This record gives sequence, C-alpha cells and structure tokens, in this order.
Amino acid sequence: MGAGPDAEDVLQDVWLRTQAVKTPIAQPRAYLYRMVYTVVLDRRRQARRAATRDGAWIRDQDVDEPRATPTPERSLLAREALRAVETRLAILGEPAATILRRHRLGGETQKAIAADLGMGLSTVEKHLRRAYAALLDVSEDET
Amino acid sequence: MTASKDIQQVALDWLLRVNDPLFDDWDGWQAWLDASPEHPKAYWTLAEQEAELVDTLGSISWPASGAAPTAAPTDPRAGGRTRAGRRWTLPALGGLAAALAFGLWLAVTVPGRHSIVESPDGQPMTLALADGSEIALAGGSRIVLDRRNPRFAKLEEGRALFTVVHDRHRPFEVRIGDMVVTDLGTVFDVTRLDQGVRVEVAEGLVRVARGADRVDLEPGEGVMVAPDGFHLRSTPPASVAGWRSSRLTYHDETLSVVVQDLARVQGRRIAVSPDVEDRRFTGSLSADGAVAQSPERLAQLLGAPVTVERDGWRVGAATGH
Repeated sequence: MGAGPDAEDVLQDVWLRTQAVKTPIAQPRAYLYRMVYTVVLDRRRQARRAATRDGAWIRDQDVDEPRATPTPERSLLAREALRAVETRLAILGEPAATILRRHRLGGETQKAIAADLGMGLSTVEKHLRRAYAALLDVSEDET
Repeated sequence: MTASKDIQQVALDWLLRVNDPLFDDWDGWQAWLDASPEHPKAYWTLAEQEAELVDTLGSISWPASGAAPTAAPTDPRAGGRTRAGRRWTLPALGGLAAALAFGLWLAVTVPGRHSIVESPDGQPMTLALADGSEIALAGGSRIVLDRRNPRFAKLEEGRALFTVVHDRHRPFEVRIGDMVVTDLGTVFDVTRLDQGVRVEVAEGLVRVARGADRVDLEPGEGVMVAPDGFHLRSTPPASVAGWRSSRLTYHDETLSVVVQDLARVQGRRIAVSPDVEDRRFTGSLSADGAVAQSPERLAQLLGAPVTVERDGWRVGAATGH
C-alpha cells in the first residue's frame, strides 16, 4: 500500500510490544495479528488527532500554548460528547448497552456473554450491531 | 440501499468480528480489505470511530440499571488506551497490509526472556529491532532474540542478513553454535550450511570468533567456519545482500553450497548427490527466474543432472531407489 516507513514503524512497535510480553503465548499467530492490528489502529488514531490538533492550532496562531494541554473549550467539547453518548445509550436501552459495555470495556468474548445471558451468539451480535448503529455514524441494517 | 451503504454494513460486520477476542480469520479480513480501495477506507473510519467511542464509554458513570458493573469508570484498561501528550507526525497508515507486506508470518514463542522467530520455507521476512538495527531472515530460518539485550541474536537455522546500527560501546553479537560474530558497524550475512557457517561482509567491519580463533573481516571478505578451521574467501560486497532479491552470486563455490542457498530462497528441498557436491560453480543465478525454476535449464547452468523426486529435486546422480 506504499507505506514503507510506516510499516517499519509498525514493526518497531510490534517488536517493542513482543519484548514487553511476560507470559507464554498460546496462539502466537493470532496474538501477533491482534498486536499488529492494535498498533495500526492506534497509529491511525494518533495521526488523525495530531492532524486535527495542528489544524486547529494553525487557525488560531496567537494562542501560544502547548498543544496537548486541554483548553476549557476542549474539555467542554469532551463533556458534550460524553453527554451525547450517555443520552444515546439511554435511548438504546438494555440489554444492548450492557452487552456493549461487557464486550468492549470488560473484554468478554461474545460467546461468554451469550452463555451468561442465556441467549444465542447471533442475538448478542444483533444487539452489538444495534448499539453501533445508535452510537456510530452507521445506518441500521435490517438483514 | 446504495453500494457505499453496503460496504459500510460489511465493514461493520468485520469490525464486530475483529473486536471479539476469539477472532481468528485475519486472512479473510485481509482479503476483504484488499478487494477494493473503498473497503479499507470504510473499515478504518468505522474502527477509529469505534475506538474513540470505547474510550468515551470508559469515562461514563454507568447507571445501576444494568448488570453488575464489570468496568468501573476509572478502569485503567479503559482509560489506558489514550496516550495523551504523545505526538506523531506520521501520515495515516495504509493499513495492516503494509505491515504484512513485510512478511510478518513469524511464529513467536516466549519461553522466559527469549523470543524465537521462525520464517516459513521460501518466505523471507524482516525484523526491526528496538535499536534501529534490522535483520533480514531468509525463508526456513530460525533466530532467537533476547528481550533484555537487543544487541544479541542467535542464528539457529538458515540465513540472515544483519544491518546493524553501530554502537562502539555495545557491539552487536550474533551467536551460531560455538561461534560468535561481532559487528564493529555494519551489514553482514550469516548462513548455516552443512559444511559450517559462512559469514560475508558488505559494509563495515566484523569479527568472527570460535574459541581462541578469530578473524576480522572487511567489506568484500568472507569466511567459512568449518569443523577443520577457517577458510577465507572473497565476495563482492554488492552481492552479499543479493539473496534478498533472489540473486545468488558465486566465485568458485561448491555445488553443495550453491544448492543449499538456492533451496533456501526457493523454499524447496534440493538434495545433492556425492558425485557432484564438490564440483565448482562460478556465476550468478536468479532463484526465482525461469532458469532456476526449470530442472532442465538448471541442469545446464550447473553442469549436472537435475531430477525431480517425490519431495523435491536432486542434483547429481539418482540414488537408485
């Protein structure tokens, strides 16, 4: 994909992370893919944030402050985003909200959640789909 | 429903699956991403949004209406994802494919402090070390790295080209059995062969030692460390790294060595019969070129018969069973 130096950086990160691993790995290949995936995603997000931040800074150059420091304005935006998510979660309702939380914050597998809540795997998947449709910019699919 | 909406739905399907800790179909996922330039765009947009969302979810105080909270609002796992204050000047990544194009097919096992990296037959790969050094591993090779000492590697099998960042106070050390190769700043190649260990230098200065015996090599110099001692040789510096582009160059080399190198690059089993193993070869061949891929033409080039056996090729007289 023509991203040579970046790929090298990714490898470097992956290497550093493999160095940090303390316990034996059961599924080395899957583990490694997951790690590369996480690094790539992290770097994409960081690049996007840096770009947004730089853009905002250039627009108002007389503000001479370290860019990483949150301004009152920025934390207000963050609070607003938070409230918006809370509202959407409330509208979404249960069990979708709980499933989303357990899966993405608790790190539980979809299978484990399905077993625990006594529902099928496809039902858990459907709830997660609904949750994302409510919280991200995607349209809800009826298939 | 429009096509882009379709893609978004499929991207969401993949995201749902990828996010599950049990997900294992990386090949399928990669194939989908590669199928159209619209796919990675849709996928990563969604994945980035979702990751932001998860960060936000981590700072929400969850209502008591749900099940028992499994993640407190201050859960370090949720909050720890963001690394505030770190800035990256990198442009957005092309995707995981970029990393995989480097041949990330390694098997890493971690017994204690060492990582073992193995490349499958015929599939070379590149390792970037923390100090900026790089190891290009030929297919069918195995190397052991030390997590506590990034300036150390042990080549257990196969061939590796080292491009080492020079540090006068901490020389890079490669162990091969009872042999030690120490770089004094450098690009060098190390290959385990049936006859012994071959070391060739493209840049810088390398010290090769076994017990009390040692030799310092400059660019264009090489050594074969065999059980009976050190055999000095010369190699044009430009051809030391040639195998990375499948180009193998020899001056007065035994067929046995040529065939071992060729077999490694091709990822094919090639045996050499005793009647021709000591014959000499001078010349250059492209391991993935038409000549080396055809038994008849390879036979002409090497001046020895090449036959196809059940599990590979044989150079020289058939063994008669």
